[in-house]
Amino acid sequence: MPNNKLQTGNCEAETNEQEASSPDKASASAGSAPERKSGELFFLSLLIILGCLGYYFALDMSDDGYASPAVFPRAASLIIMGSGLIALFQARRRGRPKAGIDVWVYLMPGTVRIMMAFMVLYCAAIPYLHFPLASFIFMVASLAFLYRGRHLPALCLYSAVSLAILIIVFRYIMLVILP
Amino acid sequence: MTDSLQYFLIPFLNWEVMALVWAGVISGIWVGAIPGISVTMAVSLLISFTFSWELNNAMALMCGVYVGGVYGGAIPAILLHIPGGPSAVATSIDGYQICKRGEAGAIMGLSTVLATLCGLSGVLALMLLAPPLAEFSLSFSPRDFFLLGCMGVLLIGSMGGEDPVKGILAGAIGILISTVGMDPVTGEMRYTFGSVELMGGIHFIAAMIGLFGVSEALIQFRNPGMPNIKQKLARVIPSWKQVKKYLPVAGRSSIIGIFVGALPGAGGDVAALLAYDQAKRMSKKPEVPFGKGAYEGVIAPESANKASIGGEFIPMLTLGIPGDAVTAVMIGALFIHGLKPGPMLMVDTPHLFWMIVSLLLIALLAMCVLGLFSVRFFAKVVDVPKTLVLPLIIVLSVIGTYAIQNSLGDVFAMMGFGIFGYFLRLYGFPTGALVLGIILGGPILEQNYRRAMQMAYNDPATFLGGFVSSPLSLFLLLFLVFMMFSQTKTYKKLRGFE
Repeated sequence: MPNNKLQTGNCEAETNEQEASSPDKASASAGSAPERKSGELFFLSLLIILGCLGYYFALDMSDDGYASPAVFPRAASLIIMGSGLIALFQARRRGRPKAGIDVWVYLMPGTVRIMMAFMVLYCAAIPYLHFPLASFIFMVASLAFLYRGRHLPALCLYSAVSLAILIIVFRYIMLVILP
Repeated sequence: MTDSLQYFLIPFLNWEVMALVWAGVISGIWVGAIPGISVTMAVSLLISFTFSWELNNAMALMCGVYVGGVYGGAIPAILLHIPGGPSAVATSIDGYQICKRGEAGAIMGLSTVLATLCGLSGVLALMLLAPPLAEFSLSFSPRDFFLLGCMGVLLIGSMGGEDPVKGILAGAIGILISTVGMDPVTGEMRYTFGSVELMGGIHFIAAMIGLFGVSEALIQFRNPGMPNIKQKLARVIPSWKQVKKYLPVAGRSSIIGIFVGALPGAGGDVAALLAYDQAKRMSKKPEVPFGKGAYEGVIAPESANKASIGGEFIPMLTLGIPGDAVTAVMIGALFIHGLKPGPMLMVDTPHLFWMIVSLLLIALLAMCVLGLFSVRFFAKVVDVPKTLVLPLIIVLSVIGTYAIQNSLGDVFAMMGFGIFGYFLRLYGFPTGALVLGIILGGPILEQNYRRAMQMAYNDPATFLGGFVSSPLSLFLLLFLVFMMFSQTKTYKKLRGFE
C-alpha cells in the first residue's frame, strides 16, 4: 500500500500554487488583509444574475394575493439580488486581489481541475459501463493521477478491494440498488 | 411515565439497535479522526443509505456516527495539531503541546472520561428540558413557526461563514431551490421549464451530498498532503484523583455546552471555543500556561462539545429547528421517514424522543469504552493518506445519491451541487445555510408563511400586526433581530470582540 510520503505525488509540483490558492489560507488572509479573492466579483455577479433570472421566471407564476405560489420565489430572488449586491460592494471595497495570482489557478488548481473532469466523466460513463467498471476506472485513474502513476499495481488492488467491499456491503447487506 | 420508560429501554434490549450504535460510534470516530472529512458529510451520506431502513435502526446508526465523529475530531487535533473537525479547533491548541511532552495518552484518557460525563449531562438536559418546551411550543401559531424557520436559516448562515450577508445569500439560494417543482397547495409548476424530472422538485439529499460531500472532497484536493508524525500512546486510563481535579472545569464547560448547543445555529464548535475561553479566564494558576499544554485547555473544549450534543437536539426535536449542521441533516432524515420535526413530534411519536435519548446515552458510553480501550487503534487512522480516501468518498456519494430514487438525474444534480458548493466554499459562503434553506424553505418557511397569511385574510397589515399583538411572536421577532444584530461587526465592536 502506498505510504504517506508518496501520497503527495504530483501535488508536490503544485505546492506553491496551492499555498497561494488554499482556501484556508485565502480566508485567513481575507481576515488579516483587505484584498478580495480572485474572481470573487465575477462569482457574485453570477449569483445576482441567478436572482434576476429567478425573479424573471417567477413573474409567470400565478399572483393572486400575498399567499400565492409566486411570493416565496420572488422574495427569495429579491433577497439573492439584494444581498448579492451588498456582497459585491463589500468585495469591491476590499480592493483588488494580490497581483500575480491567476484566477483560474486560484479557482481550480491542477489537481482540482483534473479531479473535477474525472468526476464528470465518471458520472457520464456510468450508464454505458455500469457502476462496477466505471467506478474501478475512476478510482484507478484518480489514484494514479494523485500518485503520479507510481505504485499502479498496489493502487489497482486497493481500488478493486475497496470497490468489492462497497458492493458487498451496499448491494448484498444493505440491499441498496447500485447505479 | 411507564410508556416513556418502555420506549427508553427499547434500544438497551434490542441487540440490533445496540450493534448499530456501536458500529456508528466506531465509524464515526474513524471518520472524525480523518482531518477534513466532516461528520456532517458522513451523516448526510448515511441518510441516503438508510432511508429504506426502519427509523429506529437508521437513527441508531446516525446518532452513533454523530457522537463518534465529534469525539474522533480530537484525535488528530491532539496527535497532529490538525483538528478533525471544527469542534476540535480549540482542543488542538493545548492538545498538541501536551502530546509533544509525551502525555498524549494521559490527556486523551482523561478528556474521554470527563467528556463522557459532560455528554451525559447534556442528554440529561435534553430529557428534562425538551418535554416542557415541546408542550409550550404547541401554542405556537404558523406565524411563530415562520419566524423559527427564519431563525434556523439565518443563524446557521451567519455562524458558518465569514460574513452574515453571504449566509443570507446562501440561505436565499436554498429557499429558491426549495420552490422548484409542483406547488403543494395549488399544484402549479414552478421553475420546472417543462421537465418531468423537475416536477417532484430537487431532492434535498442529492443537494446535501453534493454540497457537503463532493464539495468537501474537491476542497481537500487543493491540499491533499498530510504530515505523517508517529506518536506513542501510553497510560490512557486516568486515575480517580485526576478526574476529581478537573471535574469543576468540565462541569462549567458542560453548562456552556448545553446552553450554546440549545441555541439554534450555534453548535459544538462555538461551545468549545467559549468553554476554552472561560477555562482560560477562570483558571488562575494552571500548572502549565494555556497555549503551552494546559490540561484544562483540552478538557474544557472537549467537555463542552460533548455536552452540546444533547443541547443541539433540544430545538431540533421540540421546535423543528436545528442546533447545528448535523442536526439539520438529521431533520432531513426525519422528513424522509415521513416525520415532521417540531412540537407535534413529541405528541405523535413520543417513542422517537425517548429512543433518541437512549441512543445518545448508549453512544456516549460506547465512545467512553472505545476511547479508553481502543485509542491506539483509532490513532492509526491519522496515518491513512487522505488521497486514498477522497476518491472513495466520490464513489460513496454516487451510490448514496442513486439510492434515493434510483435516478441518474439525481447523481448529475448531486455532482452539479458539489461543483457549485466548491465555488461557494472557496468564496466563504456557508454551504450549511444553503442546505438549510432547501430543507426548511418549503415545509417550514413557505407553508407556515402562507398559512399565517391566509389566517390574516391575505392582508399584510393584519399579518404584520400579529407580530406585535402576540407576545410570543413579538419575543421571537425581537430574538431574531437580536441574533442577526449580534453577528454584525457593530455589535462585535461594541462588545469588544474585535
